[in-house]
Amino acid sequence: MSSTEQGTSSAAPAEPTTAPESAAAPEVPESFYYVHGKDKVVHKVSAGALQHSALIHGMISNLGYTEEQAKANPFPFENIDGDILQMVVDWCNQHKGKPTPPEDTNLPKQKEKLFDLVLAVNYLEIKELLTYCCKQVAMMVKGKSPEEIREIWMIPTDAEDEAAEKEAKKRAGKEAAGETAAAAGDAK
Amino acid sequence: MILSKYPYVVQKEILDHMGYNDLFLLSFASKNMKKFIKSSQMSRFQSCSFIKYTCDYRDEPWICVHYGKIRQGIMRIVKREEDKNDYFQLNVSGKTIDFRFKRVDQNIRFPAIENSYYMYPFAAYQETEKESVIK
Repeated sequence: MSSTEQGTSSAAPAEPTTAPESAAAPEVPESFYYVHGKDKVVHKVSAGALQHSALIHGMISNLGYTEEQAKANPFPFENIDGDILQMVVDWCNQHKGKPTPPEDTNLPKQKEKLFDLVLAVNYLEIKELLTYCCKQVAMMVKGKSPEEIREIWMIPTDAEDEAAEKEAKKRAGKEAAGETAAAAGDAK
Repeated sequence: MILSKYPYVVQKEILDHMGYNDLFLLSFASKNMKKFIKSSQMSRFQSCSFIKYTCDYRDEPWICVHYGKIRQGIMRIVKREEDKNDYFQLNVSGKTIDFRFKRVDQNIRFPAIENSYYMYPFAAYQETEKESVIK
């Protein structure tokens, strides 16, 4: 988008071009793009709504996707569940071109859904939604004891951390031994 | 929900939205969590002007963090109420201290925190060990 804007401004004098461009802006028909998640269900999303996602916005501007190309090849997000992608698309549509409110109460209350939503939103780089989601995750442990927090966020205890560290060291040692044995075999 | 499965930026963002009192309690979850809090919230801790230990009119000490013009409470230290049985124990610098949560109305004392009320950690002491708990 920025390249076309630069093109027009360099082709014509700056002052006369800026006024008609801004006046004609609302008449430009909105373009739509298509995305699908793990369930292969294709979602139609307007370019305005997709502005929220830095990842998709970058893909559109860098790949120079036209609407026809996008219809034939929807953006695949195989790592995102269909219902989660639907939630993200709905949120983007709801907040299209609007200033984002300080709080969002429509986020899922179930822990697992929220967990998947956070991962999806982080992957799609939707900053405002990520902030809301993280706020919601933080609120889950407000006024909870360390034991309750550990249960909610499944934080391993010190003993579990130590055991995992030992296991990782053991595995690394075995892998190193395996590599040296293989190297010795190759040398023979 | 497994917090450690989130990427670092997400974990940090979550912690950024937590109050000092919740971070204080989270730091007791595990040694690794304590390390993570210290490393990820370094800039926030550096923005603290000072930590104030003070007493109110009931002679009950409370501890709060001042940053900029805002202050946020971490905890209060009160005499143990024997009729309450919802205490949980935490090892604070080698000393086991009983804690419990109490509802505090924010509008009265702590304007920095978002909800109109919240659950606030209270460290409790027996009369005989008051000094050691405060220390």
